[in-house]
Amino acid sequence: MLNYVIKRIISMIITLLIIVTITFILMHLVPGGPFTDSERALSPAVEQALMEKYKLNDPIWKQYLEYIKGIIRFDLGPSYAYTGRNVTDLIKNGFPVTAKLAVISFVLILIIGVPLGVTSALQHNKFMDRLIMVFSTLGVTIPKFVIATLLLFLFAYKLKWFPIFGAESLKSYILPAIANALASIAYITRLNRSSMLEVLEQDYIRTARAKGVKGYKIVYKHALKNATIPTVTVLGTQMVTLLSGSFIIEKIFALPGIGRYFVQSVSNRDYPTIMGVTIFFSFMLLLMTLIVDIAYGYLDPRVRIQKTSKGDK
Amino acid sequence: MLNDRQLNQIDFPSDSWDELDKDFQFVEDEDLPTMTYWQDVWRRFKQNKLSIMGVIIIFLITIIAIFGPLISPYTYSHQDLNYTAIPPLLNLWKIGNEDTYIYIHKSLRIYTSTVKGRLIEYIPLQKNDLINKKAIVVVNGEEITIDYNFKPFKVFTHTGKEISIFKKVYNKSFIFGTDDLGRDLLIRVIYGARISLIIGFVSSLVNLTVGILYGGISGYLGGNIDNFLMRVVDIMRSIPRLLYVIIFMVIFGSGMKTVALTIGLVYWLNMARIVRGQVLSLKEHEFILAAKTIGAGTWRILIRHLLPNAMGPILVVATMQIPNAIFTEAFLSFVGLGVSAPQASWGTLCNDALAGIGTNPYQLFFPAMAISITVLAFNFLGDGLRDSLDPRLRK
Amino acid sequence: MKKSLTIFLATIIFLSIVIGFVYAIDAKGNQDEYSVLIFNGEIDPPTLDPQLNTISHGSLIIYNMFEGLVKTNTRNEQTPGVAEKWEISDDGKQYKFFIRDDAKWSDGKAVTAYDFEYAWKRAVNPANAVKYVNHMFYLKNAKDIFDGKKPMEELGVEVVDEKTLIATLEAPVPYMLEMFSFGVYKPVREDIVEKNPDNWTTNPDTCISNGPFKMTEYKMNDRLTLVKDENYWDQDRVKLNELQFVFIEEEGTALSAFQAGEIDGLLNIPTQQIPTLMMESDEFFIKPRLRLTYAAFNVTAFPFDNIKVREAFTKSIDRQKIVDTVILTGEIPASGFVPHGLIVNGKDFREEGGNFGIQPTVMLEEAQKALAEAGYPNGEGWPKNVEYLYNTNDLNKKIAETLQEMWKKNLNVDVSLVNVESKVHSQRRHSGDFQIARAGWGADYNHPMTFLDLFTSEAGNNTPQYRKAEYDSLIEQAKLSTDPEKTIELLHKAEEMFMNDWAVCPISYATQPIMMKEHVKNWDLSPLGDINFDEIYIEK
Repeated sequence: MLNYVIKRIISMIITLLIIVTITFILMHLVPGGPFTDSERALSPAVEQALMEKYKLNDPIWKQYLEYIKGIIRFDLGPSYAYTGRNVTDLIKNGFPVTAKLAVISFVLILIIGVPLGVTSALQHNKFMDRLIMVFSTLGVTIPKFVIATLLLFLFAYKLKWFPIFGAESLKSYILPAIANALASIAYITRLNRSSMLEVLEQDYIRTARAKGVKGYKIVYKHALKNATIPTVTVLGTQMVTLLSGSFIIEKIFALPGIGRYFVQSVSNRDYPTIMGVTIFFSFMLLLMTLIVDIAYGYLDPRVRIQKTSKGDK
Repeated sequence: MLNDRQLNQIDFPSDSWDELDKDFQFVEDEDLPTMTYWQDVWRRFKQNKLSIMGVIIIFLITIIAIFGPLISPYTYSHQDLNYTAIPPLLNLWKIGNEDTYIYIHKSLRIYTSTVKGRLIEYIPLQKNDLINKKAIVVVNGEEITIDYNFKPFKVFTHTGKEISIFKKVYNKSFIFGTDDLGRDLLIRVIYGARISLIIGFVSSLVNLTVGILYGGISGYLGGNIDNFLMRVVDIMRSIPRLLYVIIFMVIFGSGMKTVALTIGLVYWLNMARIVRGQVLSLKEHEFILAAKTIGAGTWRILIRHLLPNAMGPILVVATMQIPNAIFTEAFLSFVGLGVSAPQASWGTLCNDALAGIGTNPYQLFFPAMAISITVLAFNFLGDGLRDSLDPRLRK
Repeated sequence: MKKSLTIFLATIIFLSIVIGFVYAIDAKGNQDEYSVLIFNGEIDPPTLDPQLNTISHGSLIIYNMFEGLVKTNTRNEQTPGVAEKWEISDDGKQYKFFIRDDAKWSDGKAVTAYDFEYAWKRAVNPANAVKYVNHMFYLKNAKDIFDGKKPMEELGVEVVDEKTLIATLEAPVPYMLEMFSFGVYKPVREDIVEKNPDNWTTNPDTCISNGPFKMTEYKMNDRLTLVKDENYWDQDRVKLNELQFVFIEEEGTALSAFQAGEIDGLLNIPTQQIPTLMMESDEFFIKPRLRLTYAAFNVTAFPFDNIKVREAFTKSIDRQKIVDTVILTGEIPASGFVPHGLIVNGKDFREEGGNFGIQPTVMLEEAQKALAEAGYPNGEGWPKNVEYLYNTNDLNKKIAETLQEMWKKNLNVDVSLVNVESKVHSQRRHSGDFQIARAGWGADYNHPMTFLDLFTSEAGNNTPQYRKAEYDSLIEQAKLSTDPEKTIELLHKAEEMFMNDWAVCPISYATQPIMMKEHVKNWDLSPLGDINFDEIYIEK
């Protein structure tokens, strides 16, 4: 087990290093420099001084090495767009908000998606099932920014149930989390429904039924655990969807998270922030996959961890 | 089991067989025709009403997208700045005793209209008194005062009598209303269908090509090459792809072509994995071995034998990629990196309408509906395909 | 498994309690007396350092946190700031400031002449890469020092004693008093800045300021809280106890927040909502703004190297229509380069300058005639791939689409629209890599010079790539002239020369829409975009 984790961590580091390199190259292909202002041209001397200050006059390979050296010390460099702030600070400042948003969305997915899916499967082909299916199909058909705007308009502006912007209280997170999670809820509902249906047809469930085990007992004791296995495997990727979806949500609800740097850093040509955000999100993704793989091993004893470590998942 | 020698040793009684009639012919069982895999798929697919509906919807939308612009009296870029932001539902006021009807836009623009809701003419204000919040307009020689101290405003005749709304009618000139530059929203949505669908199809095609090549090669060659290629996919999967889409869009510049290509190029990973998985499991089958024995080359085996058999799941993924691309394009529009103006995809139309949701909700409603219906249709189609391709998954 | 059901239920109950609790503490009672104003700052400014800031979002805050020697209020009157009085030498080149005794920093230390000397030298030092350094070049030797030709000691600033400062200029500048109130000329504290040269303004502990408000809390990208500074010398003027800036980027969200009463004021409003607001809201205002929106022709690039093409393009658009139906904020159709509202020597520069024969509506015949003279009668032979470059933004896009249609309709020429992201836009614009480009310019100070020195050969913001020796010499003479009347006369000549060359197609003189709650009293927005938070009070 420990061996496996260590192996995975080493491969994670190599992966990250490769991502850093690719992003670094791509970033420098983007036209326009970090210090071109939108309306006012900068005097060449000032631009030169700024380039000097941020060591952008060094050859690219040297900048790259410096950057790698920085990462090893957990220093992601200074932001070009926010004078005097380090990228590490930006992430440290924004992450609690983004994480809170993601976790609440995650909880919503679990407490809404799983029960709905199970209910739908148990009520197979009845009215309830149809209703849930319609809802969950609709959930994936509207773009996130439209959902977010609609929710804001209806529940915060018209009905005044929630604050319109900011991250002052937990209440502020509810609407953004719903907007963020809706598509994932729909997806998990459908996934749970189909895996539950599959499980309910298995021999051991029939055996249990034949032996006279009560309905709810079958569901909770026998079916549920096995039916949630597929859910666990996709939770990792759903978490990533939630994290990256946070850009839209954070912008519309004016939450001070890190999602905003997704676009802002590219349009500012804020190289260190682009790198920082990429590394951070990649790291989160890799971490999630690792956790899911370990959790999967516990949930489903058939899956031998050593086997999943190979390429042929 | 008996071996040959033992078989030969069995002594069969000679009356165990009859000789066949010379005229006897084999007759195939007509009641049970044999079905190929695809026929079988089609049979199952037909039974799924939702997927058939999906296909019909997609077909209709495609037809409208292709031929709609040819029929419409407007073009997608035609502006009439006198007719900006006119909603699809009009309040008409009846003026005087004759059949004169006017529509008053909430930004105080007055139009004469037929009773059925076809707008005739824009009538500029005679006077707008900003301080007393009263506007005067002359229609057919009749002087009308609009008092906007009231919210919503009230309309009075020159004698000071209030005129109430005569009736609500649907806008016959612009069925979906107009946008902020006085362009017909219906034709914009139809034209948007072109853009969104092209982006969907093209990016799905790019995705398919790259995915099949990559996954096919990886799965077929196997071994170290496979390991390496899959490692690469794993690494790329850990990159925040949205960020890469944005970077690519900034490098290549915006426009329909770049959007379609970028989305296709960034989202092929899933396809590659599916194709590889299929090829990996199929290549151990006897028919591939047989093909190899006859001396078929790698490419021939890949293209003639492996891919057609792996087509099922690939098709499902490719279908689902289309709504994904439409969504991603909508996201890019939200960021401001979408197609070039005055072209507009559904995403652009939605994004343009977002800020006006309080005043002109119809501008958001129609393109959002269009996206919803299309994505829904593709979802139905994808579900149907998956179910009929793999009956085990059918629920 | 019953256990897990229990856990499941318990989780739900727990969550509902948490949510309920959150609701409960949100409903806190109103406190009277203590007045708070919440304003939308839109984006968190990159820095609040008076020397380093370049964007309006930063100035809005800095204007109320730091005070220069002179204060320019929103009515463009120069009043004593940190300096209680000043003397100007007869040749207009020397300013002697007397700093008031009660001028204090927010930590209680006195503001001295050294703080200004330090700030100015800091601004001129090339190592600090101050982007607005060009505004320092009025000071004697500043340019040479910046270019490394002279040592820092020769800068035209002299500390006589702690409370007396002498500034020496290269040449007399008619608007110099106003310049002294500008951001780059504001004082900073050496001991503070030297400790954290880059990030002293990000933390309330180190952000020591000398203006009406001081920082107490700064949550990045979220909220900046300023409170009335009890060390500020002019206590009586400041009525607000607390001033908060929130950072809501999305215009629609900000407007909703305003209408729901969560914020008290905001600047940019979604255009779609403006007609309704204008009619229905008593809290919606339109204020003058010293800003111009124009389309710049690249005078060195085909086909706009042809003066007649430029004339045709300029005359064939309906500015009135664009202003009335697209921009919607009561802007004025532009016919020159300098907007209305720059009053020098008692006369409005624009009124005096005339309109150069550009009408608000389409001048169809003249435009078509000019195009024919240029060799494209009725658009025949018009080259393909003529591009209009603009940076992505809702309004820019609408204007671009409208212009495209107007040129198509009136001149029968095709122009394709290219939208790029703003960094690419400015890079291409400044380097001349375009044919026509959307451009805009906002005044830095209240003098026509801020608009007209853009088009000298050396200027970095010379978007049309306009280079003409006569023009350069007119501007040079205007800068050196000791007679304000003469300066204005030269500037009029320069504008006329420039406009007669049809180097730009002016579109509109901007306005600034603003929303402010009814209970906010005595507020004002200057044409440069400053808000007098130090004079506002709240009456509920």
